[in-house]
Amino acid sequence: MKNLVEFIRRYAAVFLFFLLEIISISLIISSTSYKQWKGGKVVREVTGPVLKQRAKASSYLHLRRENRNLMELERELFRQAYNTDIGNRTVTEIYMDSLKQPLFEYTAAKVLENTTFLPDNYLILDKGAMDGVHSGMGILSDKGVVGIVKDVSPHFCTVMSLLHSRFSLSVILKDGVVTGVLYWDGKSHRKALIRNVSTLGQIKIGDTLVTHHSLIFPSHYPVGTVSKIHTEVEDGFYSLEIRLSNAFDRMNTVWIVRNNYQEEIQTLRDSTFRHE
Amino acid sequence: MNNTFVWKYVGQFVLLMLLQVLLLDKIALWGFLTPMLYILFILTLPFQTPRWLVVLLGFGIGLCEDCFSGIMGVHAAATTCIAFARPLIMNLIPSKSAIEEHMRPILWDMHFGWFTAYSFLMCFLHQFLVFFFDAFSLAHCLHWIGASLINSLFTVLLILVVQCLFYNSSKRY
Repeated sequence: MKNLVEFIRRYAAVFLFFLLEIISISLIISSTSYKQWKGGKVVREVTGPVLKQRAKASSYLHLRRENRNLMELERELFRQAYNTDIGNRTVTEIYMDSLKQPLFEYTAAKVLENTTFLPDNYLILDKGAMDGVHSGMGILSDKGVVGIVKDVSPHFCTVMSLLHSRFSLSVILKDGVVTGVLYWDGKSHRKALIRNVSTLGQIKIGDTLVTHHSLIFPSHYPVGTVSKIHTEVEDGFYSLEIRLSNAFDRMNTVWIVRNNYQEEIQTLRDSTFRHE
Repeated sequence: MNNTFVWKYVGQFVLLMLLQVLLLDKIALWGFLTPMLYILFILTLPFQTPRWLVVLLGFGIGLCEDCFSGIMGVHAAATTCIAFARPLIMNLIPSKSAIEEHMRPILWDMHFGWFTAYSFLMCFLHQFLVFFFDAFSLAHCLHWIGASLINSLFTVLLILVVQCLFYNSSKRY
């Protein structure tokens, strides 16, 4: 008996080793088998909160990539949404569609500076001539029209905001034929005026106005919704007040719109005017 | 062995486990390189620790790691093995000076070469066993040896850094 106890004491580590190995291996087998291992639920109950915190922390690390992926997706959706609706497009645009290159390309840019309270407002973006930006290109946000590129330096560009006294844009009622020209009256960064409206018959408050006949912006891009209808006639036209769909005080990322046929159209236009 | 000594090891157990679960398990360089720093706990247990206790602690820390990493038992089986093999590996590597009673198998008490070889062998064995128990076959043996080599080099590097930063040479008591 004494010998047996001595023997066990001496080889305790070996026995324990084999015992624990058997336990481990049976754990591996039971937790990988098809039958649900009962202990798994208990373990998950304990480890779950820790793993959740870990996942939460590590998701922060991936936000940048996540964001970039979303931008890529958004750009793709832009291209699809505003390059294919031939029904509402100008002749030029339909002609362009038969070529391989899409009419518009979109580049994301960060807003570095933005004013909304001056009589003439500008933005500064982090893309410039080296990124292929030229003056005259359109700027959109995901909500609506933002402005037009004014000056370009190698890395940056300034944008004449829609909130500028010299900005004007041709717009059309989304579900109709009523057209007008958008101006900013300098009063509020949420509102703008539509002039040269020929008829008020079809217009209701809340109707959406979209871009129209533009080679700078894609057709049918939202601009704002009608908020007030002025019934008095000025120079033979009515005017409207709209609520801008883009929140000018809350812009982080915007899209620079490149018209791939800008030069071609310009040449064509020049030759037409020369011959007249 | 006094009380503070034991508590130091308890604290080390918890800290290494947290570091492993919260940070290192999320590292997967080139898809497979995950440093297994938590076995540093088994590596640095004092020379005098009874062998059965080393084996039991090895099983314990392996089981903890298992709870957080999917299949139960894989790490437990591997760490139990290396805990059992610890004295054998220690004897395998020739030590220039005699091991005194107050010493621990850490960088500052031993020679650099001895400690590096010791931790490398332990890491390599552990990593290989993790692969083995995970798949339960020797089908991709060669691939595992390569992966274990790289992974254990990475782990040893990390172990050396941690030892340099957070460990002091053991005092005679």
